[in-house]
Amino acid sequence: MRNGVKRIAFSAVSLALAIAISYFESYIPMFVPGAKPGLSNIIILLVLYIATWKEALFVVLGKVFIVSLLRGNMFDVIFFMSLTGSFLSYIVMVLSKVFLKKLTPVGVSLLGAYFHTLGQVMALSIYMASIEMFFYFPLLSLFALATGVLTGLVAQRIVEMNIFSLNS
Amino acid sequence: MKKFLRSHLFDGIALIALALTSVAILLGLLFSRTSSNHLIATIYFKNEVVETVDLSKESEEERHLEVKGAHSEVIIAIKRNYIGIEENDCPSKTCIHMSPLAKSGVIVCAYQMIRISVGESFSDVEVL
Repeated sequence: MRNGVKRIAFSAVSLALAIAISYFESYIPMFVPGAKPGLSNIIILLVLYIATWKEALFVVLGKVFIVSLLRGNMFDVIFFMSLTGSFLSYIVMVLSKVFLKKLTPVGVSLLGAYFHTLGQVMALSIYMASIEMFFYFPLLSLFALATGVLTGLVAQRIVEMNIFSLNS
Repeated sequence: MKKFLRSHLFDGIALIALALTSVAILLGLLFSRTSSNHLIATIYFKNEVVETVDLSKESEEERHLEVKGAHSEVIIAIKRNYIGIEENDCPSKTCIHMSPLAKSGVIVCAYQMIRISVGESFSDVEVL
């Protein structure tokens, strides 16, 4: 199979998985109000490490748009929070993977999770025109760090298993 | 175990740095919170003040205030030094879990575009 076809197939399957995980994880009860486990970040990390930043961007943006469409909140505040958080997280993960070579997928994941929360709070602050939204940032970010480590460990384990190869 | 820790040394440093940042912000917010006998709650819808309530002048008996949200009515429970969202038909119910407030702070429902801000005085609410 040609490499390009493999990449497209890998991106499409990854997007489908990210959407499914993102949609169903909202039904997992959380003890921190407004927090989510961010399990779909495992898929984004895998795409980032196995494919390239382009495929990862496709999965990130595709996930945001399609999950919003499924939940019926397209272009409302929740959509913009999701978009800002996901995009900021993606940028930070790509930059940290490129420039902070000593970080493993665990470190990249926790940075991504932290900045995802920051992006969401920033979007909400702009939308509500109030800096008070940052009141929730410390608790949400501490929770994000914990889930970021967990998702990073899972992603690292899968990357190390070397079961996906796009170059052969 | 040693190998694991060595390979994740920089991840650990990043984790500690970010966690300390969050803890510092959290402590700053906690110490700045007030629980005086004079709490003012301001209810906003789409960044406009809908109602301002002096919580210290409320009775011990709970009353309910209906506020029009972006999608439906939101019911807010108010009594002396206490305010919280009682009913809201948003999907996540996050604001209900954030409620109630008996100290200075904020309750937000992004879905309904409603924000309840509690401060020690009227000027606090404006400054926050």
